[in-house]
Amino acid sequence: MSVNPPVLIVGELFVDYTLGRNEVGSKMRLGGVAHAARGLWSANVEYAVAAFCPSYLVDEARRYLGSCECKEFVWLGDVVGAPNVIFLKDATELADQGYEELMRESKEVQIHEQLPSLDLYERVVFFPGQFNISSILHLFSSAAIFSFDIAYDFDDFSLFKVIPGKIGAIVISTSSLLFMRLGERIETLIAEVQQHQPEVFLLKENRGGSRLFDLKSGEVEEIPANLGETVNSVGVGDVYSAVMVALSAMLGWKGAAWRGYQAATVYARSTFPDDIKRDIQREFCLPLKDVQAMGGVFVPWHDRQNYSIYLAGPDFSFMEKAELEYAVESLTYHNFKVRRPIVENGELLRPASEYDLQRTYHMDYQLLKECDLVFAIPLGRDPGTLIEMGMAIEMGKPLITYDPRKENNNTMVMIGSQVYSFDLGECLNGVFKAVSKIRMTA
Amino acid sequence: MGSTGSGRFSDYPGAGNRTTAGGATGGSSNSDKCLQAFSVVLEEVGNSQYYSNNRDVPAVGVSLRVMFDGQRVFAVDDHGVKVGALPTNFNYLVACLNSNTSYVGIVEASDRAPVPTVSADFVVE
Repeated sequence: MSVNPPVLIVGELFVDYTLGRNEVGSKMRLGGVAHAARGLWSANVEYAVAAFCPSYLVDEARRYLGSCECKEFVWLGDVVGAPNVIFLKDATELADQGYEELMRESKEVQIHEQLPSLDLYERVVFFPGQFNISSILHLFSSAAIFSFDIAYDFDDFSLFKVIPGKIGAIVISTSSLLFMRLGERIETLIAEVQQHQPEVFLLKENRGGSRLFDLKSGEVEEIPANLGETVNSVGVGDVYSAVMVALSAMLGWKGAAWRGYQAATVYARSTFPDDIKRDIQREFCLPLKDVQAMGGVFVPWHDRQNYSIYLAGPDFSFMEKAELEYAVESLTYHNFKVRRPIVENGELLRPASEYDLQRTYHMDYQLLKECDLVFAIPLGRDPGTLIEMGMAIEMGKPLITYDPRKENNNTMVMIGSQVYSFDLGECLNGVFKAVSKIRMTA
Repeated sequence: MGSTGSGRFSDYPGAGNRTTAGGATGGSSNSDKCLQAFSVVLEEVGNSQYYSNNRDVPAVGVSLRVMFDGQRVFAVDDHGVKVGALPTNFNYLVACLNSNTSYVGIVEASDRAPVPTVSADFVVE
């Protein structure tokens, strides 16, 4: 697809290294703006890359990006003092992905003194990093339209004050530092963004979908998430942003955002580039109206605290319950309100008095009734947990059962649960789907 | 499906597929979900047109096809009557159907009570 001239993506190149876990081996890929590059190549969009990276990576980057039909690669500057390698604990963003950038405190970005003009490029997508954007702005045409995908390294909007031209899109993820600082209320965030007069603001809300705010018309386009097996969530958001910006002139921002969503969904499900390209091309053949009609999961970040999740599990102080704690961390990371009856109503002494038993039973039961769904982790086949699961089923409340130790693969548990799995990602998807359905029917 | 390996960047487009001690690497997984057979327990059987028409579920062995009605993917009988919906995790089939892949299948198990239930197996036609 010729987007005449090519879209330019600007940022850093990294080596992404995901540690292997369970039965999945370790994975090393060219990361940073290479994700956006793969996405644009897969979408058949012409693009170029201007990047900062350590010198050892330059030749490999040229080769790799060349294989992805990059029209031009400009090495903007050297990264010294650090290898630009990122270790990732969690490739699927169940909770904080635990990005560890090696030697980041001694890292320095040195912009090259002699750089070619980049005034040919009319659409530029910045992925800000530890480089000084204002030092390279003179390379661009005053007619260029800039878009920004803010992830890490930025916790305020000061960078936009130095942008001379038009701003097309500002894109923020709920995983970003900027969102954590300013995102508590959507009105505050929009007001901050609006000061810089972008055409649109895209808020990416991970498994809950995304919202595209047209800042001229005031319209909000709700774009769902299509939850399936996530193989690797690293770079998925970059693909979304890059494809959206690249197609915006041809399809308008709304249409481009939907295609960006489709591309991102595919990107999360494979790390084989040829498969990604094949599947994105297939997806793009679907009429947009069909994609929109199929819907998906939509749970805006700011709504999630409105839905209470009852945690059914042996949440006792004396239990070895690492899986339970991680599940709670995951749900909390995604901004869900987790109600822990043992923590809130108290842990009974052993032996407990008849009075305490009765009181605690009724308080826990009342709490369960008040909650919107039940997330059960029946470690050790805890009898109390199994009873609460039965109560949830009888009450008609959605029940998501996470069975990491595979102790409860019993007919009544598996079929009584909306989702039963020993994989936390599947269970997390189940929570999003259940809450999305509750929202839609409310 | 994810590729693995840390000795060198191996996910070059066009690099095919190789299996190493660490796992699969290369540009392609050599698999295509659109070409894979699948089994499914249908949803909404009791609310579907077939059950409404017949007050019964199709018998074992009845042939089925897959179609997209503009909103959801359904299994239909030879007359195009909807027997039940495929769970939404089968929505990937919409892109496959749109790229001229079609699926045929049969009822593998079915029962009217206590809840109308149909299980079906499908292969690429």
